[in-house]
Amino acid sequence: MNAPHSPMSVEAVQRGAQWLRSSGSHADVVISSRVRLARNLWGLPFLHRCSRQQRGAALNLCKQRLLGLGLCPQMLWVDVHTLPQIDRNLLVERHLISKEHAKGPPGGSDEPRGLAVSLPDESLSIMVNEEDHLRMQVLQSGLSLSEGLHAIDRVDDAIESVLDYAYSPRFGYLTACPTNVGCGIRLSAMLHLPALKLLGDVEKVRRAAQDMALAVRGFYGEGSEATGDLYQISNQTTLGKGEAVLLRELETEIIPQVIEYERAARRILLERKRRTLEDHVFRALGVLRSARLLAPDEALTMLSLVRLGVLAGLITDVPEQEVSQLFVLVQPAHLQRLLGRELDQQKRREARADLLRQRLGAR
Amino acid sequence: MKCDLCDQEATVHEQTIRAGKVSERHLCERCAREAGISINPAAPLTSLLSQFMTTGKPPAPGQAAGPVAAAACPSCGLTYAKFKESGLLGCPDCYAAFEPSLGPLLERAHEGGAHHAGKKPRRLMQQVAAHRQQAGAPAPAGPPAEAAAASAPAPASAPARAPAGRGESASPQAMPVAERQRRIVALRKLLAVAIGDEQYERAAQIRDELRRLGDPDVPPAEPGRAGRGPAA
Ligand SMILES: [Zn+2]
Ligand SMILES: [Zn+2]
Repeated sequence: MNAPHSPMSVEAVQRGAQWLRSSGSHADVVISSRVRLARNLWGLPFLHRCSRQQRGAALNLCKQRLLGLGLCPQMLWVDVHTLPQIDRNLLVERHLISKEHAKGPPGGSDEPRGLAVSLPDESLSIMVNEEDHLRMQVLQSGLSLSEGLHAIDRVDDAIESVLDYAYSPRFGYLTACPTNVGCGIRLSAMLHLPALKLLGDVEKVRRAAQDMALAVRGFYGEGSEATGDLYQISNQTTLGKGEAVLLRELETEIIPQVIEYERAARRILLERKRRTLEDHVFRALGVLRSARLLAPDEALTMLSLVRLGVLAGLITDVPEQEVSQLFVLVQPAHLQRLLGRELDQQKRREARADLLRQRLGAR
Repeated sequence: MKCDLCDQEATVHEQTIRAGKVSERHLCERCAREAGISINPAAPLTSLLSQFMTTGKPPAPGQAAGPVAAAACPSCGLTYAKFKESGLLGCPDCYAAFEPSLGPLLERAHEGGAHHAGKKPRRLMQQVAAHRQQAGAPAPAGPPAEAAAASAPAPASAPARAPAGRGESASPQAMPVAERQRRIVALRKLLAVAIGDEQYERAAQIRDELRRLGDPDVPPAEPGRAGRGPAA
């Protein structure tokens, strides 16, 4: 059992995140897949209209039921509101909770909040008292939306067997925000598109996705920039279409197309612009192996090019998995956790550069 | 005995048997209400349900919540203006309360999607099916004429939130209070589903069952009047 103030052991942090282990199908382009469901309890107001007492009752009820279900061999419960900010950020960086769930001063009006997470793989996580009473997700590496949907469906059934959901035959699962109502589902895949970015073709993907009512977002979700050439594609509508249709649109229509675009772009770069590609890739590796101070965005930009170089077979002395894990390990909370102390921005830049030199050192 | 969730004395005792396992919960009045298992749980009656319960009339087609949206949700008090400001609804009942305005808005947000077409909650659907089977069994759920309603116009559909007196029908009163509460809550869920599915005959049956159980939000039937059947 972990100490209450450290939801993730240092070893777990060092290992990186399972969803970044670059396995599963189409892992050269699809970093990870996530399926998330939003559910609310019947007979209670939505979270933002709950009294503190109601929030407490909802949290206790969900906690008790979730832990009693035995959803996975080991389930960790985290009272998110009691965590120091750095540990909440750690959970955000690992994509286990949303930024919104990490916010709020201790004793604030939006407490209490909770998280249940499966260990050691962290593939299942359930936020309690976020925008909706329950937000559950399955997060896996590679293109695995159908597996994820299957897994979350069983979790959802298990939870519904012990908790009453707010549901209406016309509107489906009722959510605080009407953009989630219906299936309450968000299917999303995180794609690594460095070659399309180099060729200036990412806009095409964005437009194609928008035509299909899909959203394109950055690494850390809503409104975040696509640093590291990482893009999330997800469904935007949840009412009027079933889960299977939404899944098909993403997993068998749009995503395979984007994968093919990116692979074609990588081939074009290798065959017709090899010298340019090599220049980008080896400069990036040079920066990561030499820099003494690195900001997070610069680190991600360089890591993205290095990953492209490894996948293209240009860089041969760095394992691809190591590169992918570094996308998360260079984030502020992870760095501080690895070093075991709080660091200001300047010290983080130092620590980031040190970590990258050490992990990517010439062999 | 202490409440499972706080330090108050537990007054509501619930026992559930699932997959051969017995689980119990003991809650104080307030926690039980907040967990949705007592009479008058936090948001049990949509304007739709209360309208149905008092008049027995199905809403006109296409106007499930009446021709205009309520100015405020009868369950949580959120106004439509406030919703437009924040983008968030206040409680599950807001959907029914604001349906006339919300419907077109949702259609735009969901690229024309207007009706749920996905998964349904499994246990709830089993409860609906089990109840339907039970209702189809020999003992009829009361003569349909009795499920009648006043022909007067619907009273203002404010939900009956007052701690109304117990219903006066006979047999269910022998039932333990917790069991009765459990059934009432379960039936209200089924009632919401039946109305949502536009199955008004079934809804009327469920309403009558609720009345027999002494649900304080269901007004007593008016025996003197031979009203129209609810599915008319
Ligand atoms: Zn209590
Ligand atoms: Zn409401």
